[in-house]
Amino acid sequence: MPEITMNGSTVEVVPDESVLDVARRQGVFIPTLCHHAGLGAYGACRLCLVEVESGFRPGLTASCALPALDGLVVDTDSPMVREGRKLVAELLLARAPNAPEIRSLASSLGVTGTDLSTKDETCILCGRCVRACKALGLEAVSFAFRGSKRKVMSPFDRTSETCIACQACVTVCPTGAVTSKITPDAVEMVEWHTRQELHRCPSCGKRFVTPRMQTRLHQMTPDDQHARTSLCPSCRRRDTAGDQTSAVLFK
Amino acid sequence: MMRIRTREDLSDLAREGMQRLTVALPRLSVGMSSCGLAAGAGELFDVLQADVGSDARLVRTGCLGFCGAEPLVEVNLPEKGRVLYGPVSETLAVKLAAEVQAGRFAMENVLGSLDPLVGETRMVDHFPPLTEHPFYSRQVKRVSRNLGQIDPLSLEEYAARGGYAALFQVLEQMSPEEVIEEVKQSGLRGRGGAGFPTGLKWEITRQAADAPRYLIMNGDEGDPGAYMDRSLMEGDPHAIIEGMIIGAYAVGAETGILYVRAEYPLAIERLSGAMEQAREAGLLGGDILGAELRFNLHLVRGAGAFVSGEETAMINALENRIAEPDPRPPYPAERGLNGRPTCINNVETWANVPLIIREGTKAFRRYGSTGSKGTKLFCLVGDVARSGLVEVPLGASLNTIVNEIGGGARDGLQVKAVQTGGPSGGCIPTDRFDLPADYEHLQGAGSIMGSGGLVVLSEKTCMVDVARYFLDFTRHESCGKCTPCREGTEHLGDILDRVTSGKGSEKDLDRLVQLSEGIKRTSLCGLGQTAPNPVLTSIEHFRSEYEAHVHEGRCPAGVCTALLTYSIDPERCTGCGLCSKECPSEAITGLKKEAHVLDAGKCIKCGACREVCAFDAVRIQ
Repeated sequence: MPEITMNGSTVEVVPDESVLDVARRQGVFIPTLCHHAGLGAYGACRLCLVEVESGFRPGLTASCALPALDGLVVDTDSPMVREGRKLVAELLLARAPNAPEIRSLASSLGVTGTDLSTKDETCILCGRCVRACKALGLEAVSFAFRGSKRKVMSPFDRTSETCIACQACVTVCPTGAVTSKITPDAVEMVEWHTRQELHRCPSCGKRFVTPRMQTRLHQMTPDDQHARTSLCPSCRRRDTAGDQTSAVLFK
Repeated sequence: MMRIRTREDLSDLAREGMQRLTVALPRLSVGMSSCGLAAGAGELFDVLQADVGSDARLVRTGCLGFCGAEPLVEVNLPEKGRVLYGPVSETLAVKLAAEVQAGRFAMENVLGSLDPLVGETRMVDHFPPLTEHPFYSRQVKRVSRNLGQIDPLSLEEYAARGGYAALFQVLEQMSPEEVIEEVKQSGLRGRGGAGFPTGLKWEITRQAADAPRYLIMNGDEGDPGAYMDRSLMEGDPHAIIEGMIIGAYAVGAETGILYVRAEYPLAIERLSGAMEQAREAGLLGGDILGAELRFNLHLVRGAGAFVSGEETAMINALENRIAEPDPRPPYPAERGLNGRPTCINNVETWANVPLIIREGTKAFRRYGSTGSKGTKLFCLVGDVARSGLVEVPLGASLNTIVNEIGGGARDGLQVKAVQTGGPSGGCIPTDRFDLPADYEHLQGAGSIMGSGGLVVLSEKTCMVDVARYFLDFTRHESCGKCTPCREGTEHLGDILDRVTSGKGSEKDLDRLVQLSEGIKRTSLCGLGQTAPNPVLTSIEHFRSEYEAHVHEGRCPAGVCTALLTYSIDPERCTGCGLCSKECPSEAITGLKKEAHVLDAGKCIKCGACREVCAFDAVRIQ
């Protein structure tokens, strides 16, 4: 079994684990922001920095993207790590000084203010929305421009042709920068300039799904399930429960 | 073009090339790389063509290195030898043509006589050899040996200079493992800047996983002032292609990609042309040289982002994604393009490969320092007297390169420092010019070798302004993916803007150092990890300049406009009125033949008055 040394203790690791995975398993706290368990390693925010002492290039590295290589020796709370994370927190705070999540994150790392020039952004460019959209096979939003001009946009910052208004981006956004407005008959994705009507459930008549989302659901499910994916969640649950009862009792 | 299958075929080709190089007719070679063309070589070529007609053969060659003396023209007279001229004006071109028709060499602007290219041609004895010219005397032409000497698009001439012999040697006598061992033994390290051992990279790629494996030539050279790779691609494309075919055999790759930045149209044209010739000659494709080797090359144009020179960003670009770096590991050698083992080497690295095979590791290791073997191309630019592309053994001192080869600063100015490694490197002051230019020593001095750009900075340069210039470059080229590089370089830029406009404080200097060190340690890729180097090194070596800006509101070099005040010295002013005519903001007034007065309130500090004044009467404080 391969092993790594974390903060002086030896830990057995399984293949394909990251150092962050190992730390979480061991109950060792490492702050993260761009990391999302469902979205794969990205290594952009740099909050999860750890110090590699040996076994890989020594110095600071993002633990979310660092494979737990056999023989690796890391420190998750060295002075260099704390300084590095504080710098990242301060830079994020200067970017989004009024975002409550960033303020509390920064203050938990000992950063309560900054003398750097500040902006008033909410988006901290962690890319979770972009990656979630891509994971759904849509890529309705992406990064545009580079450097400090970087931002997340629908193509040309206009109404998106591909957004299905599923709101996965809203769900994964850590700072509330991506927003949606839901009314009884439509969903509006504010930042992506996209408004979509809600269609009715063929069973109970409640408005619940956008037509594009329904199409996507059809694409993702086997043909014999299409009728079920047109149902609203309550009707679908009822329908599925009927199926499963028979499955458990009679097979 | 005939297909090359045997050594005899290659010899035939080489013989043909030799005839072209040792012609019965006079041969006029015009240096027509981008540098030559910018200096007017294209027009010159037309003048020569019109004048010599069919009495001589005109050839477009690559860059002979001495960019400061462009346009360069070489005259090769049958039975007499070769002489290099530069700079050649249109008037001189007409004269050269007339003399050539009379079978003579012109006497003006001779840089020197050249060694025979091939065979037993005599050296011209009444001109000093070019190798004694101060720009060339300390150089060792190895990887640049063909630049400016041969027609880059002549497979025959490349063969006459020993081209593709190394490929034969490899295919006939060596196993892939032996080739890798040979490259490892040579000590060749990546010429793109990081200096990773090339043979080791090849070995990792070969052992990482089964085929398909890929090779990539990184031709995304983007440092301001660096054009080593461009010169190689424009001047000797076949050397790169031969290096890659040898690499393909060693690594076990069937596909190679030439990634060239779109801003290098001539390099793209010459590489494409050479690729086509290689394909026709059976050097690319299937059954290369009759051996069981299949290798194809594709050229891809980069779409103008400095960061796509970073290998993982380049792979993203090649896979139709945004050119942004990914965390490593996995390294491309293990999992690169399309998830397959991919060996990415810089242009100059590939071009060194045929040389190593043909001449052996011993000849290669003869040059260089302990940890850095071979020779390296550098681009000597900035405030230098003799600018150009130079090749020296790794470990040659900065003094040799800047002062002996470059002739120190231009126009009698004093050299203050040299910036190595472009925006990712740092400045090195003159009192450290004994420093050997190799990977270890430059890194030890807080700079990097980078791909080889050397920007000479004179006393007229403000070090704070230079740091700001390079930082401006990196902050605009940062992809913005990771927080420290995106946000941090912007703050560094803001603080430097403050300092150069006289609004900085001592605290800002400490903040610059603290931010810089943090960005270096925490950034995702090499761009952010090196971007603060210009700031850190300039503060380390020229702190007094920074202090003059923040404490005295003064720019000692007289560069930072916000800190300058223009005035006219009444003692020196003759009242000629030229400055007031030139002034775009009507800030200068005065009667004819009487001392003029400059209204500092109206002055926009453009410096136009200072430029036109013949009496040095415009003062800046």
